[in-house]
Amino acid sequence: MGNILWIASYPKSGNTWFRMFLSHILRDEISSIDINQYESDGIASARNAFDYYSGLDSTDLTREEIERLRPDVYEKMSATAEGLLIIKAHDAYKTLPDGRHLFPSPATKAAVYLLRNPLDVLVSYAHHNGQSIEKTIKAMNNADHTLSYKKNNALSQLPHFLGTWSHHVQSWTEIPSFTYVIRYEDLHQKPLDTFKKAAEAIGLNKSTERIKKAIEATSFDNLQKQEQEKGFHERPHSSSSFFRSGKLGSWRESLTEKQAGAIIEKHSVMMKRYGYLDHKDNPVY
Amino acid sequence: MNYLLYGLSWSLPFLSPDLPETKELPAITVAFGVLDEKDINWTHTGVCYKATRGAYLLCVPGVAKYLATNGDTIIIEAEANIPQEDIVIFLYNLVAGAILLQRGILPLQASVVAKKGKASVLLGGSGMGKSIVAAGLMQQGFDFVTDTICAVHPGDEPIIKAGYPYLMLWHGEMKMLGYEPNQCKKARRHLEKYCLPVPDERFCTEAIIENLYLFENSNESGLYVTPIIGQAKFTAILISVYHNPLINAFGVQKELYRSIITLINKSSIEKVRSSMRLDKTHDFLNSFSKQF
Repeated sequence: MGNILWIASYPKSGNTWFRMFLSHILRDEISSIDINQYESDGIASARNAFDYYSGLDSTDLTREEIERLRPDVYEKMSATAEGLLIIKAHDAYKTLPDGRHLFPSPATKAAVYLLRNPLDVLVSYAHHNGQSIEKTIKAMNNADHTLSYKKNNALSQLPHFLGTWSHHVQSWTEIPSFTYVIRYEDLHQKPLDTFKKAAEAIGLNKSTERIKKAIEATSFDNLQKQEQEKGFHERPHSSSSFFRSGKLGSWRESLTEKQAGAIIEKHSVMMKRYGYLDHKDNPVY
Repeated sequence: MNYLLYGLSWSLPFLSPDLPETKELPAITVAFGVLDEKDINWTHTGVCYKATRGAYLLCVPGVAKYLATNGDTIIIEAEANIPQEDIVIFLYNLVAGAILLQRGILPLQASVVAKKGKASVLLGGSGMGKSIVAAGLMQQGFDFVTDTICAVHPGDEPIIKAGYPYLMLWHGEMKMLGYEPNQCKKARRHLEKYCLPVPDERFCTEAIIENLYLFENSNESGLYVTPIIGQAKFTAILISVYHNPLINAFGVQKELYRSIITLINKSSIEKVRSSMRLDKTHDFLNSFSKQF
């Protein structure tokens, strides 16, 4: 078993919120959390970490060469870590052409996969990228959807493959044996129970009181207020805010029937499986 | 014939017409051969490299292995049918950076332009946009000194010696600056990165560092340039050393720290924060060039 705890999700599904919660309960002192200072070990697609551990310059490598080396980089990171590493991942879970997994078991302590109603993801993701709803629907339904990939340019992160929203969910919830699945909606509606069970599942046994304090300190309202006051370094330049709405079912105020239908039609199997559609195919949230 | 690169004479096992020739005896000899590393006791290892005092092994899967020893010898064991450009890109960057360190020369990860022999060094990690900014400044009348590695030679003044006389730009970056990528050679097969040649009259072989700029990504619109002061200057340079884990592996801390101290005493360092978006390149260049 390795030292890395992967916090995986499709974008805008509560990943940052959950990592802030973890950061709080891992601290000795119980205090408020500064959204620009929280402990984080970065994102799996960080170019600088790849370069540091591989000893190569990733801008001199092809996408395939980078991908082939990523499992080795994570194993090296895990082997040289002095303690637990909490790393965010937006990549889909993937088996590489050589049969290895992108997120290899020897590097992994556990993985938490956060999923959220794709209709709410759609609205949030569109705002996040400063793109239209139509373009975002195309991205969520695109089997080749990849972030930070431009054939003609190098970006500060490595390319990371997501695929469709359904593929992403399926890849993390069906293939690896080490994944603990959390629904964003349960974090909102049953916070104490959901956060506590998640913490236990990854080996962080904390008192109910401690969990309550962390939930309070990392409440959506608190994070949003901090961002309004002093900004948030993870906000993309294409978006005016990172912690924007966070409400369940906010898609009902933003999407047309046709737009919602385009997501439901494509993702009904996974949406039903995770309780986002009822038996008559009506959205639950 | 030997070639001049980073201020040193290199004996190469292939023709390299891109590099200036020199009659100086080689300081570094490069040869193809079969590597024998079994007697080397490696103290530091990464996924693709091993290092210890006086020795460095780089393994680029599917391309070649490079063994650099004692600051003067490089043996390359290449895979079959690998074109020269694929071998050269790792030789002139990563392996050169390691051998410079072995010789006590400070290799910074930077692109460098100059005016009247005074250099402006653009520091930053991969993918930060240093090369496109250097290319843009060259269009505005600056001379070019080096891309990717900035070799700072030890001495009383922080002197940089020229690197490979090309700017490595991605297809989209070249288009953005009005160059035609297809008229340039590729940096590697299967990579949309091109070598933009530097005209002889714009190639500056030696310059003294006057200003350093540490590039950082930001999600704010606009350009923010703030001075780095005190101890933070030392840290800013240290984190900019090309593949800095090798400093400890080679045991060259003393020489390197001396060079860094000379550098921070003789030049200013500023942090440059910007979104570095390709589509905002011209806005960035217009704002940034006001620094000079």
